[in-house]
Amino acid sequence: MLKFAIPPALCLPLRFEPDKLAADLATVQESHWQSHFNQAIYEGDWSAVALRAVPGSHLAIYSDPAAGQQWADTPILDNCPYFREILSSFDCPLMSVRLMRLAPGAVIKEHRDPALGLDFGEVRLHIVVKTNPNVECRIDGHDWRWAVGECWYADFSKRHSFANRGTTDRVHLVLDCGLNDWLLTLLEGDRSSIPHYFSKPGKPAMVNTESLRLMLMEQPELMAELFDMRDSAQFVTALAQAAQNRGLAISESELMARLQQGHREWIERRVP
Amino acid sequence: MTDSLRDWAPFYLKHGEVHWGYVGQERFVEPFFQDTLQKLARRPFNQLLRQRTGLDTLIERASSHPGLPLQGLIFHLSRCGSTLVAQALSALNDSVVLSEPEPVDTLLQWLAQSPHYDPAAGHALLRDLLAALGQPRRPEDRRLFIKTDAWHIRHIDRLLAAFPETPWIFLYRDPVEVLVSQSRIPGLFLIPGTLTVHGFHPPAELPLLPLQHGAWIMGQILQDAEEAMRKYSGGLLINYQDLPDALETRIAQHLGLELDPSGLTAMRARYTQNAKSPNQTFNPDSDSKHAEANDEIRALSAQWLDAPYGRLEAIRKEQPQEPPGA
Repeated sequence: MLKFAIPPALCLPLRFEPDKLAADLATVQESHWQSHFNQAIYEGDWSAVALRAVPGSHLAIYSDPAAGQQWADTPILDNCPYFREILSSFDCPLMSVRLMRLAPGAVIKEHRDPALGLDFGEVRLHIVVKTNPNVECRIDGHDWRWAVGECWYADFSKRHSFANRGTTDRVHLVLDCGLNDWLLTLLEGDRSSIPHYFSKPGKPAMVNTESLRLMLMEQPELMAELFDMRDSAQFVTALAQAAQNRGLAISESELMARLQQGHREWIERRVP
Repeated sequence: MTDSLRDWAPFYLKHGEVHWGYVGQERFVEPFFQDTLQKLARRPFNQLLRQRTGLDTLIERASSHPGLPLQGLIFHLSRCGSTLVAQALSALNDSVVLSEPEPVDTLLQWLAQSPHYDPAAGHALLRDLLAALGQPRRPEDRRLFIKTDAWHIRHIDRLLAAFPETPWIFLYRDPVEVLVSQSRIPGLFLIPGTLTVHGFHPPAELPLLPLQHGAWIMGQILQDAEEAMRKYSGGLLINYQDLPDALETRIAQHLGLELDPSGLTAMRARYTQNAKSPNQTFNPDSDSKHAEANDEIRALSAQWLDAPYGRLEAIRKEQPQEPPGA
């Protein structure tokens, strides 16, 4: 059993080389990417390429916890020497391994993956292959910043959401690993150098409006124009467009949800 | 560095945090601060983009962004012409008038309930909050006035410690007339229990009815005003019956207003209206209110209000009735 409580996300003491990660990613052809099967929980382009899968499965990018031990490398991995090297360095059973891509503007809405976690003897790790400063990652109410080359454990049975508000893809190499002593040692190892939370827990996953305010401060005329608007729908459309023009991909529906929450907070300001 | 709070103001305080909304160049000209805020808060911009900071931001910002000089505090008994005075002052283009600003009430509650909090830090926090609320946002903005909530006379020590030497006024009115007004449209603070957070603890035998409780509260307010008049030299008592004439004379002089013809015209235009219902004209209505008073109101006034009212009137009548040279 685990000796320590594991936080909702944890940067493991492993580092991979950004240039080599990028080189292998470049060998993957556009036609290999498949949209994620669970279209109810995301907006935009969220797609994956299977590097290890159950042979012959048409759901090769779907990581099926019940699929047993029949996992095998896919032909795509043949062109990716660094990815192969990385996989062979993991001294634990490897099940599904996928590249997962969140395109600009794509949002994975808050959800939980209840059957995924240490209690099930399975650990999902993310190696960051490509990212940008406007990627949002929220797990169990905390904001995280995951950098290229880092390897992250996260407890995805907790509520989590991702959004790519930048202008370039975010790509992770996602490994579903069987829990063994080697992995336990990694998880329980030295955490002194681990990057920590960016916000307090307990806040619902919502658009961070700081970047929008910063954007508007640089454009006083636009700010005055938006301030004068009285119609929420018109306002949200104009703001989403302005954000888009500045390379900040935020959907109107997210803005509207944030606006409605803000209105609720105002009405309930005197509620203790 | 960009100033991320320029033209933003504290809209409300909650759980030790400041919630800021954007105000831009808008003025607080509605009868109450809260009316203007409600309009601003309803705009989609503020629903979506209000920002939240700790109190430390308020403190830091006040050191780099001092607010307008506070040129007067207006305390009052309620229903006695205080809104008229606030409205008349807000007619002056160079004056920022905060009429019963809720964030100040919240902070005063916090301070009243934190007896072990360092008083000096509390006074500094009041200054910092008023610096944020009273920022010059238009080039014309020169000075700040605050009309407090009726029960804030209980906090006068705190307020004058935060703003020493600031001239202040206490407005009041024949208690029977105030009670008639409160019985027509009761103020929220009449509800028993609402002002315990400000240190008003009614005697146990007081009936838990709004008008009874309200009469006791207002008796306390008159007593606090009387004590303050004896303790501080910067006060001026104004009875409703002196309005609106006193605006141009004693009040203007006490608050250091130098009224030029355009200011005078603007102020007069405002105070000929009924302050709380701008579509109606201001009419002194003491006679009709006395006609409406019933036995219960007269008894409540006699029990709680007549005596402190009489003592305040005695002090007021010792004040010079006309400013020197007026």
